[in-house]
Amino acid sequence: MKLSIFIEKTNKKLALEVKEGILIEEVLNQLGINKTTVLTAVNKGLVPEDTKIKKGDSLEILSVISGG
Amino acid sequence: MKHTEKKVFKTIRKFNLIEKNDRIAVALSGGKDSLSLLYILNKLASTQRDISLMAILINEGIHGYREKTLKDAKAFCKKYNTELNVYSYKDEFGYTLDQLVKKIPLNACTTCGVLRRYLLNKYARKLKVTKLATGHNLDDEAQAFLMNTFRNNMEISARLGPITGVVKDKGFIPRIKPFYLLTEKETATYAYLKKLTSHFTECPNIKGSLRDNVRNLLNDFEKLYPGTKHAVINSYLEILPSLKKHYATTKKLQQCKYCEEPSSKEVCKTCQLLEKIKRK
Repeated sequence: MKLSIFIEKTNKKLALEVKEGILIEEVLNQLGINKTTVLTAVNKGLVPEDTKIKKGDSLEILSVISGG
Repeated sequence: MKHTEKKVFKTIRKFNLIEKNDRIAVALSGGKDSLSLLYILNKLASTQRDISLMAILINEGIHGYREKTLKDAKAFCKKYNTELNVYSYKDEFGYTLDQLVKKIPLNACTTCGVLRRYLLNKYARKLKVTKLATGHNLDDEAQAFLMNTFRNNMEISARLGPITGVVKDKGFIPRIKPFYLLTEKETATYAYLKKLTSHFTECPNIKGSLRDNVRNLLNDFEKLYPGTKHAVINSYLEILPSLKKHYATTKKLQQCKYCEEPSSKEVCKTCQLLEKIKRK
């Protein structure tokens, strides 16, 4: 299935081919993103990284790193 | 969210950060940590009527960064009816940080830290504040300890902790860190869920800095070895009493001969910096 992803830090949208039921953590690993540095939202709702992706889900990845 | 608030109140009690009749100023940047801190301390002040709360914001004049968070800070204080006092590098020193780093070769982060702390302390004292609360979180503090260790700056590490300072001096307003045991991810989650801000923006000057590198290092370690950040902080807290004791015996405070602000040397760091700028 195609997973629609928005990476807030780079303001980039992409579509990733993944298996249904994949964990968000695994998607982050594929993208080379450290889970300790981001919040993840599925369909606009904040979820933990051990959440499984379902068909039709859209994923937003928000960097928690801010300030100086 | 209740869990985050409970953790903050527990930190305040554990380290005795807030005392009866404290007049507290939150060092507000308009970012997720300081907005969340002001929000939570407002909750505390609503049940503990003897403490009073205000905010101090230092505008460094960092283009493309500070304008957004300043707007958020002003809107927040208006919404929650909190007194906000704003001071700027431009008004105080004649230059924004952007102009300063163009004028003379300076490390932007180090310079900004010196000037911001100077102004926070100066105006906290003028406003008769008893405690200055900052939104520093566990990630920030673990990074600071490692940075000081890498640079053999243990004296600076001795001054940090949940409540800052090695010796008590009427010139210094103690800085407290109620978010000391919260990770950056926890504070971001709180700010997001409470809709306090949608901007999690980084200062443009941080890229490639020591802090940036140490942050990345710690985050990489945390991924490989979960609990690393907490272990660094717990190790630091274990040795902190010894560090404070050691540096208290050697630490002497005086007044800067130019600005009369508290200083460890005859001329404080801020005045040294301003001298450098005048000579250019």
